[in-house]
Amino acid sequence: MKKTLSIHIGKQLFTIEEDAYSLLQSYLERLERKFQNEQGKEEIIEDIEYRFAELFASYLQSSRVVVEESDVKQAIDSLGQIEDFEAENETINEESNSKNDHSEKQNFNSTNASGQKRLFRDTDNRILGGVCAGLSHYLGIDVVFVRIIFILCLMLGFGFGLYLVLWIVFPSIKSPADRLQMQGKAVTVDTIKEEFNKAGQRIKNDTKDLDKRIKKHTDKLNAKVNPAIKTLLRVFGVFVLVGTLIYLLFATLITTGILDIIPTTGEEYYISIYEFLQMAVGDQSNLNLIWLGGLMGVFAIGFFWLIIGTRMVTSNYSKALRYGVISMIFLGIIGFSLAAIGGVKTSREFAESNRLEKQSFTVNKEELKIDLLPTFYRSHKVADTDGFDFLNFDKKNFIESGINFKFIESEDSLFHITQYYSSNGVNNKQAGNRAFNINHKVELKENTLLVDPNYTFPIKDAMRRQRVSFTVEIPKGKACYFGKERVILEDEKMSGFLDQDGDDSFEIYNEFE
Amino acid sequence: MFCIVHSFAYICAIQTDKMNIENTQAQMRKGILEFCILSILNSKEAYPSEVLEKLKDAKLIVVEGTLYPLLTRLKNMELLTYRWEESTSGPPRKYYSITEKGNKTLGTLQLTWNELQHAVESLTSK
Repeated sequence: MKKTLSIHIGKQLFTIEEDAYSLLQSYLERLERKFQNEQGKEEIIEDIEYRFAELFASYLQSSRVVVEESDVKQAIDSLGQIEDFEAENETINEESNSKNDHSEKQNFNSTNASGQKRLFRDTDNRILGGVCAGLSHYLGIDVVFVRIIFILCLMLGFGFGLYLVLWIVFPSIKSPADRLQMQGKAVTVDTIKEEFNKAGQRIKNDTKDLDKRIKKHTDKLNAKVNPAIKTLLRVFGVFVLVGTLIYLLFATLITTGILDIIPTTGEEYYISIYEFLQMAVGDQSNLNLIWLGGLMGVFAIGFFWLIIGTRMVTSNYSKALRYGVISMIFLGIIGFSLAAIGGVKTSREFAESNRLEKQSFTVNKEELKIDLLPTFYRSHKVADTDGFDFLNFDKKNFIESGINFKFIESEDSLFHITQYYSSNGVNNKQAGNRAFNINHKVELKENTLLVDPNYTFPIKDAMRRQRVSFTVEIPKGKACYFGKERVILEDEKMSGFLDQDGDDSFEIYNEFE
Repeated sequence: MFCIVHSFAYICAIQTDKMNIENTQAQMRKGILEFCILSILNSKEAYPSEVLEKLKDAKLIVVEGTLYPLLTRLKNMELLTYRWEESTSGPPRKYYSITEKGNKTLGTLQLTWNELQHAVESLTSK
């Protein structure tokens, strides 16, 4: 069973259920607010009320006598939501603002002074703690003014504390009776009943269209946040673009050889990356693979970031740019794949290694000394190598340094020294040829073995781990000096390394096999 | 990291675009609606629901609530007039019809529409 009311709408009389009535009433209220500034607003409202009457009449027909909530809903569906109406001089943006206004209520003073007015914090209409709203009830000032005053106080300095104190001191609304007292109304049975109804209504209204309100709020948030995000992206975009342009500039300089970045100790000091690859890779077809593939990849990356940066800066997310991005990714993948293939093919050139025995010496003395052979080649020593092997070459040959020594115990009483050349290649024969082309100077003067710290091999052979090494057999009881240090065999073996490092040319170490 | 920033930005951009597009679409509809209403009422008088039906038949979707204010505005601009018709099965209805002034305005709007149509066609047909 439901309570009903009588309404007179569109020159017709209807009996309408209570909840249907509140629904209708809130719709008409919002309607009034929507068109409050419009010239013909009374007429518009009248038209719509007539329309409601017409619709209700058609719904009721013969069988029913009371307008129910579903009827009102149906009528509202037909007429449309207030939010979708267009009032005069309202743009879409303003419309969305007015949609959110309807949830705010003005707090006017209720001067029904038939009761004691008490100061409560009005938590129903609060922004923070309801302090201002409560004060507005008590003082009879519109809440907006109270809030303005508080903001002024805030700026003057004491607003924050004052608000906090009031928040703590004054209680919030806990019952309908409180609400009545706040408004200064008498607390009687009737007023309490009314308050309960109002409370019920409030809950209903608050939960109604919740999903729609949430969407509207997020839309509003988006509208506010989006420009901020846009500008943030623009800034990022600028950084990206600047970085990419610098990257592309360097890439161009380095790849075209205008900027030589490979440090060498040769006459030129620095060579371009292409020349370096030529020497390292050797084989022309592999070189082309690596070079072109690498170029593609490097520049694809550059253009990729260029496009992304442009998109961020101009906020242009058009399809054309999207295709650009995708194609750059593709090019990059293809480019680097090609380079990788070239790399793999080159690595096959290191598959086999071969070692040649170049010459051997026998020394019948009490001690053997190993020292540096003064080299003719005066290399330009670059200041700090940091362990990075600088490229060393002249017109036709690479000049390498770093010779390995293996010290073992001699089976007889004589020193035996053997010099080896070794290299890698795609097969044994090729490796052997490359080893053959190595050139290294070593001289035996009395009991001193003079070793050139450098050795050479032709550039056309490419870098294939060409090495020079020595095996020195030391008889028991006899001494061998590697540089200034005596070689002591541990477990009958020891290793040594000769590098052209100035004072530290000779290094003895124990090789753990 | 750039990919994350980028995708986030992409999504936000799509949101803004959507909103801007809805705005534009609404603006487009708004301008045309008055012209369409005048056209409908040019042939013969009708009450609001009839106008709505004709609009729906032409696949121009409007809510009733938008129609009433518009009709009232056009009436206040003296482009339309109405008369009350009593009805046996319910409340009286307003029958809207076009005025002389409305007729002239309709002519002007028709010319504007033709211009626009021409312009848009030639711009979008490439």
